[in-house]
Amino acid sequence: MFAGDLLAQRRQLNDAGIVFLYHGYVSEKLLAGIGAALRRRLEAEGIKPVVARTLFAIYVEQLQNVIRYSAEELRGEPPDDAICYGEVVIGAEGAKHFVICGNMMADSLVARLEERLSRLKDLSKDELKDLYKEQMKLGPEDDSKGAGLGLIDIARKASEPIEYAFTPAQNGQTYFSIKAVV
Amino acid sequence: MMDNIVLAATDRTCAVDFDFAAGRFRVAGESYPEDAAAFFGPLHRSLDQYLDGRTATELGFEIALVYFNSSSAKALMGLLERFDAAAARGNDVTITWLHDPEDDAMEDMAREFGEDISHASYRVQATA
Repeated sequence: MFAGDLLAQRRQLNDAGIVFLYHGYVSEKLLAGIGAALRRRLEAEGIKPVVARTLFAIYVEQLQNVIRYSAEELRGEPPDDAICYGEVVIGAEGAKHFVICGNMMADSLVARLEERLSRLKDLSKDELKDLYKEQMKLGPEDDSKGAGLGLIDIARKASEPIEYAFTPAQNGQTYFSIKAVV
Repeated sequence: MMDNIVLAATDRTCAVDFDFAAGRFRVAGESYPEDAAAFFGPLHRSLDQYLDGRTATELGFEIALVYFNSSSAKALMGLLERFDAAAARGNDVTITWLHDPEDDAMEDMAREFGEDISHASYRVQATA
């Protein structure tokens, strides 16, 4: 790949309305740093504060899911400092903005996640709110994994039903991606 | 009297000001800690210790969060429930949730959290 190829790729991304892209290892320690860069970019793009806040919130929830469920953890890391591999893309589509996240996950986790998502995407705003409240009451109070509220939260913040895809890859892994439009 | 808890805001955690002597409690800023349990757990326990057996105290809890993630939401509810239970036991409890006047989403969230508060006085207020 030559330097010129990289510029062409940047232009392609710009043409596709992408304002932020991160592709690499993610960890809790990186989440804040990447998030800060994202916020500055959104501000520079002149995106309305209310929209920017929602995009950031979805970014945090999606990235924390990547960190928790990614199959590509660096071996040898302690679980609470796990580093996982994923992609996050934020861009504009007409008058709207979107956040897309992707990561590899173990095949064994797919069925349950797919079931949760297919239920979520058909719920109305009120039903999502009820589900959120119900979910909040479940589980131990001091739950570092976040009580399973993240996906519901993303679905609530999105202005359209969330979109997602599972694509079988190799080595017992499936590539999962999720898109939220604001 | 228990020592006050004063935590400065960090890039991922909110400012915390628990003044046990004055019965004034406040959380402000943003909350998306790496581990919500590790951050909020000690706050829950301190509050439990403070409220244990207390039945006639004037208490104020102010929330001035501009952003919180889903794992913080549950922990926040845990704080609110403790104050509501304290009100049920006879304490005079006021909970105030402040929000940016432009932030409808936060206002909605504040109202939603308040739906399950049945004993404490609960107010949602736009900041000037």
